[in-house]
Amino acid sequence: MDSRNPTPANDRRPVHQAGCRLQAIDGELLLFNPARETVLYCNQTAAAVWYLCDGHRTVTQIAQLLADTFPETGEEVLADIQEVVQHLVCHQALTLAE
Amino acid sequence: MPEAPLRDERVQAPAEAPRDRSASSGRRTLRCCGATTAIQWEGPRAASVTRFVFDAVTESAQDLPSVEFRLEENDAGRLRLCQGDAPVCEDTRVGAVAGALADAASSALSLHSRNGLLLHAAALGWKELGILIPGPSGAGKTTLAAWLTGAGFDYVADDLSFVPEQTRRLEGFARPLRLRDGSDAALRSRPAGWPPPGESLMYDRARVVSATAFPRPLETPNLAVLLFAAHDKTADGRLISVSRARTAFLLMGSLLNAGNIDSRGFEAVAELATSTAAFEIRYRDCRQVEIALREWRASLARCSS
Repeated sequence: MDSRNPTPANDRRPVHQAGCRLQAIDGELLLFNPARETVLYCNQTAAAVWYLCDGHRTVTQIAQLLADTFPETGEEVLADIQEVVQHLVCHQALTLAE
Repeated sequence: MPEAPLRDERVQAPAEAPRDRSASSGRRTLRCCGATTAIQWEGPRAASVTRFVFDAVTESAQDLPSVEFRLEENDAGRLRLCQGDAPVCEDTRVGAVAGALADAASSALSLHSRNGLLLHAAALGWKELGILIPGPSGAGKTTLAAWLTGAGFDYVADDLSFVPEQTRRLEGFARPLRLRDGSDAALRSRPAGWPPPGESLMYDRARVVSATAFPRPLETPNLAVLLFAAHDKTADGRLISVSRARTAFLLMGSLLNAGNIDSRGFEAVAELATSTAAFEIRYRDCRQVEIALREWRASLARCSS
């Protein structure tokens, strides 16, 4: 990684943060971070994003995959996915690998 | 147990003390919400405050208390409340002391509750059904609970509710209800002469009514429905189903004793959420909640018949 030219966020690969506990219920998710003592609720869309964050796909690739799978999602899908990923990163449920 | 009658705080004359002050002393060990507290009192007004706050709470002589309260009255009629050796409140007004005692007991329960889920929630019984209404302070739980107890529901708790582990029993701290300006309209439907003498105080612009003045369940109800209620002046009072994951999320936000239970309650809350009907309701007035619950119960009866 070149610190003068950091990888754009959309080209980074989100991956599940170790230590989070998960409850999957009816296609939605609860993510419990014991270290922070916080619980995140993910509706079905956010849950789909979570499952795709396997450390191999970039944010852009995740957005493209969802747009291809659900054509009705519209043009803002990348922005929506960025927001979900950022939210999960802020709550330490995901980290962004290069 | 000799007591002095509780007086409306607007009446300034102190209660008369019986000649033998030692007859107005005592101790109770109380079991509530997965914790045990004890209170020792001395003085007739101290006895009255203790009864006012705790008369609806189960006694448990066998359990060792986690917290000890002491309430004493001096010759000048001043009441002093301590938790252990730490002073909590000192005042001549029974309302002030009763409020401080109820609040201190609530805090102690939150700290020591275990072997179940302690939730920031009101709880009501409706024959065999238990209704849990989670919500933060100021959400209107007490007002709603007060209203519903005048509409055929039984009072279990207004702020601290408890589901013992591996059960669906709905228990709670049946403390006095404190209704501030405007909220006491929730008591409007009561018959003349209610509440009975000695069961109500006016303090700090609030009407405080003892739990024993409200209908109480003959048996502990079983949790049947979770109701996430919010007051909204424009609301239509419809019940809206909440997904089980979202229900668990909202319940985690109301969990008070996470530090005392396995996995900080995560699995237990998820299990409860996946096995209990849950609704959100935005209501303009409490009657809408009553109607919504009756309609829900009727639909339940239709489904099971």
